[in-house]
Amino acid sequence: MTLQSKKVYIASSGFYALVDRAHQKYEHAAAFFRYFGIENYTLYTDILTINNTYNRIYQEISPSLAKDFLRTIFLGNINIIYPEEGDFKAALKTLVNYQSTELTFGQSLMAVLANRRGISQIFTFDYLHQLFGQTTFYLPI
Amino acid sequence: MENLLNVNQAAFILKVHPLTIRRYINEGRLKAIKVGGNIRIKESQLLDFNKDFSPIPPAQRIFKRKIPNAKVFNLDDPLFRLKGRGASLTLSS
Repeated sequence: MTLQSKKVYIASSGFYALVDRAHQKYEHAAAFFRYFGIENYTLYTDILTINNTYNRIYQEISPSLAKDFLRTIFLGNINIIYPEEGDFKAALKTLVNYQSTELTFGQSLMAVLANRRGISQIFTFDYLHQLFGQTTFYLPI
Repeated sequence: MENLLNVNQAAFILKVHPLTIRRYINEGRLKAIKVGGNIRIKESQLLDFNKDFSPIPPAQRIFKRKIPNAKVFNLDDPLFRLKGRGASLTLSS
């Protein structure tokens, strides 16, 4: 059995699915976060992902819950990465050079930030583009 | 006119590999000019480089940065208080 890293990068869809109980993947998201908690994983996210999640909660659920989300994220034990100018430039370069037009700037930036911190697993419910050898995180069942 | 050196000559003077010289130029640590598509280094720039050279402190390095004292996620995290707190009215995927 291969030894897996305990570092996981959380994408916006992961956070949103946990908050929204009407979401198709709500149960999945809850199970994933429970697993991260039990196994003491080190979780990472970036400020852009937090902003995207905040906006989505604000628009689709409620502004007060969106505010609670922000408060919780900044109080909690999830490591927040603040991109620098070089990260943005690298993300833009990746976006321009990638063949698929479906890659967004947010996804590109996430891939760059994860790569620069040696994080190879991303927890997302969206399609994950094959950048820097990163893979989607699955529960080892 | 000032004496110009090519990459190999500069590497020989500094006693490093020519690729190291190219890296220094790419990183902007050593100034160079292009003459007919070839890299040339002014002798005065090389002497200045020798004088002013100092390694980049680790804090400024970009790649493979580590977050000091990374926090570990646990079951007491306040994020669990948000679990299923809202329900959107639209069907989301």
